[in-house]
Amino acid sequence: MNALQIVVIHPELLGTYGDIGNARVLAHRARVRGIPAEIIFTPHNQPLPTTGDIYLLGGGEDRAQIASVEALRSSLVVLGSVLDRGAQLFAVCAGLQILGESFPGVSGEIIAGLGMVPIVSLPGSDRIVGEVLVHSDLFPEPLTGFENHRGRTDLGGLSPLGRVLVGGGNGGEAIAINERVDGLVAGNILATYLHGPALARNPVLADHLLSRVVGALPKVPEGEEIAELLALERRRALGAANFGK
Amino acid sequence: MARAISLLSRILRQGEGATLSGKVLLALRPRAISELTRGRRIVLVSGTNGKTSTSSMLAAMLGEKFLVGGNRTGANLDTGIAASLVSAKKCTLLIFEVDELYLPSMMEETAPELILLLNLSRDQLHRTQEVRIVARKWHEALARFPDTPVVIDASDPFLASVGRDHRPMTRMSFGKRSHLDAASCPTCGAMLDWSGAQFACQKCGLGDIPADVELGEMSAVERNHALAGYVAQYFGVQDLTKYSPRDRISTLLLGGIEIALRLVKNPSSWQEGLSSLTDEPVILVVNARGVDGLDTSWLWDVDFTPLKRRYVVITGDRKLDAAYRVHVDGIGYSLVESLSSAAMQIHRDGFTRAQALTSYTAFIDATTRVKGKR
Repeated sequence: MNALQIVVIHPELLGTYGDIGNARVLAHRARVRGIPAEIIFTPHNQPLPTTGDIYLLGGGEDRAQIASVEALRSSLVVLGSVLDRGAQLFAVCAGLQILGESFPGVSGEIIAGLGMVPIVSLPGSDRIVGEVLVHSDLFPEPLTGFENHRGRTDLGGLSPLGRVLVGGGNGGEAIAINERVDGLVAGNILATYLHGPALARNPVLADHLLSRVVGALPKVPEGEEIAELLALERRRALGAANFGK
Repeated sequence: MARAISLLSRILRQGEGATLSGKVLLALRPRAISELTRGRRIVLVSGTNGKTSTSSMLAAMLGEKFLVGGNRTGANLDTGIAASLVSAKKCTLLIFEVDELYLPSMMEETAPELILLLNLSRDQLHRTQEVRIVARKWHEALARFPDTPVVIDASDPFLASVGRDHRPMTRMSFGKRSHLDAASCPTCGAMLDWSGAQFACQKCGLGDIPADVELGEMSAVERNHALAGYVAQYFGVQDLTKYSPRDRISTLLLGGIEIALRLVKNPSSWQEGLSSLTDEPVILVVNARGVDGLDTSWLWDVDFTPLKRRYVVITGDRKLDAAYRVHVDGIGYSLVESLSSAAMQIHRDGFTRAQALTSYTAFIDATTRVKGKR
């Protein structure tokens, strides 16, 4: 079996918040099920591999985000064609913003994004920082994470990843809590503001991405319970039980 | 008044009383730090890691020549600094360690004679946000003190950037050292070139200024010792041979074993802690309360493989985050409810000593226990 290829895009630029953990968790959860997996780190000065199965874009500081988007412009065709053949793209925070039409730069100026999805990110009045609880229809239990961003993202009609139960998500406090959403789902692109890293705190989300590439997954073997224990503990810490399903 | 506050603080039995008297003082006299430091010799020490241990190494060295005062317990916000001034009337030199975000305001308040900057890297991302913002604020602050001598570790690209156009500047260098946050230039944002003997920015020239003192690669505590030694010499203490590098390690007797506690609080200090482990069992205590940083994502920026084939026990508020992290690195561990239960388990298994890497709040809890109960 060919190894599952997990491509970390620009880890030296978009890795401020332990984003590398998302790649490690994907590889780990594949391997424990007997699926060989490799992690490929692609710095900004190297071409994007065309053979990847899951591509990851992480979070980063303003300037790093701009350097990353500049480097990615020339890889836009590659990125488009790998998604067309079924590869998955998982983007977090700065990575989410990069995919859209535009996002705010260092002093609020408008930077052109990759335009892969019709979303627009604008600077908010303050940073949204803290734990997040998100209900997504994709999963029975809510997702948790930690957000830390100034940008506010308008989805332009795209579907969000889920509804925000605690925290700011795409829109922050300017939007009523019952209308607040996080992230986006568009074809083979899944994006969120959740750090944590999100896939470490939400094994269901990691498995969701894996299954979109390799099909139905067997259960993880014994010895992996710690992932679920962590997810459960975080949900409880955020009072997930109070929100029902 | 200062004495009255000190007395009040003691009456209220605030344990270490590290900040309460400072809070009271600043509430009554908002300019107290400025008033109580006017005309005195002041050294400020700041940086992401090593502030407390470096300030105490420096205090020991300078203690030969001066009656040294300052905040020696890690309380490094304005309140901790104010509190230390309450009882520092007779001191002839004051060394303050200062939180990174408080450095600019403490410079204004104390008009220091010298500033020592140790390093700058990601830390408590929920609070300090981006390390580049801190660097920019420091750079702006130095511009307001163009004649104040500053000593930096110039192998840290962020400090090289902070001090790039400051004149009375001593640059010490310790070989090439990779930096998690410095893929791109802290000054201009261009990609840094790390292929040479030292980092270099082809666009703005960061890294081009030669170091004043060139030393080889060494551990963080040795670097800080060398930086402190330079400052001590600046103040006229020449013979430093009897002072050796000292880390912020406290020893605790608990559950029948002796635990060497080491404070670790961000990726670079965790990595440093993991690289200096002895053969004894290892306890990880991971909290995420306020000063620890609320976001535990950084666990994934640390390479935990030095824990392989060791006896590892994990505790703390966020033990599950840490446990899953090390699990993915293929490391076996056991989970326990508290530092005491960790000690008891290790004792039961026949060991007499252990080493603990602890988050800030856990370190304070444990070391306060040492002082309070023994």
